[in-house]
Amino acid sequence: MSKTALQTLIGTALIDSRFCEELLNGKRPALLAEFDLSEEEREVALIVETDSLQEFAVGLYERLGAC
Amino acid sequence: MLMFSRAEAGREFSDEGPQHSKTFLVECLAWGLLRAYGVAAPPVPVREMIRNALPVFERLSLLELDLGLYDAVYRPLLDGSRLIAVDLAKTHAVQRASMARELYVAFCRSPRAVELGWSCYEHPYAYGELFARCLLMPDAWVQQACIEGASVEQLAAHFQVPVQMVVRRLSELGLQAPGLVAGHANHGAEDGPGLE
Repeated sequence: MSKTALQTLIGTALIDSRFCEELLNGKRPALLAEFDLSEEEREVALIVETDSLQEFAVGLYERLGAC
Repeated sequence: MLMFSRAEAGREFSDEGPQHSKTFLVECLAWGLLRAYGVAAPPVPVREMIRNALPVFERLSLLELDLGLYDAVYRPLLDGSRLIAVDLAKTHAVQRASMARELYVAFCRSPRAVELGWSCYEHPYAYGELFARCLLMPDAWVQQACIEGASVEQLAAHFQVPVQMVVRRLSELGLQAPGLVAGHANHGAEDGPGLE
């Protein structure tokens, strides 16, 4: 279920440019709260610093071994 | 339409990089769409998703008719709108699978895909079949159905997809369902990349 939440988070950013912008620029904690992420996923998602969705997604993928 | 140079686009979801991260992103896209449409259980209403297309798809509509040549096909129109035409002569399951595939093509052709530098912009069919499987048969839902002991045929009915699609999905997820015979195992293996 956790992997699903993570992929849903990234997928939402893929299709919603405003959500994507907010995810990468300052509103990340509030947005993450909308998803059923594990503690580990939430922590990693908060520390990945980038303004690129690609880097954010790959960063999560690599650190969490999500697939 | 958003305009980005190839260099800018390449900064994001370029064709470079490992395949498994691309398949991961394709699956993410499917989950994102399921959330956006509020779909929480199968069968995924792909026909309604096209009829009520999200803004990201830019004036996408559905045309239902007897095509005779394609199961379904995506086409941009001269007025800037886009459509997915589906062949009503095909079975319900085939229509759904092909509409899901073409929905991925529609995304690949969208301004958002250009903005993201989405890797399959120029080759949308490379991952179209995979996307269709991810959208219509999400990982977690398939695993749950398998735990409940559903056969391949029952899974096909549950998700309203072709049996071959179920076989391919089970294979790429490393799952087995009761009644899966050896002859099914390699069926559909030629329809593009799978999950790793």
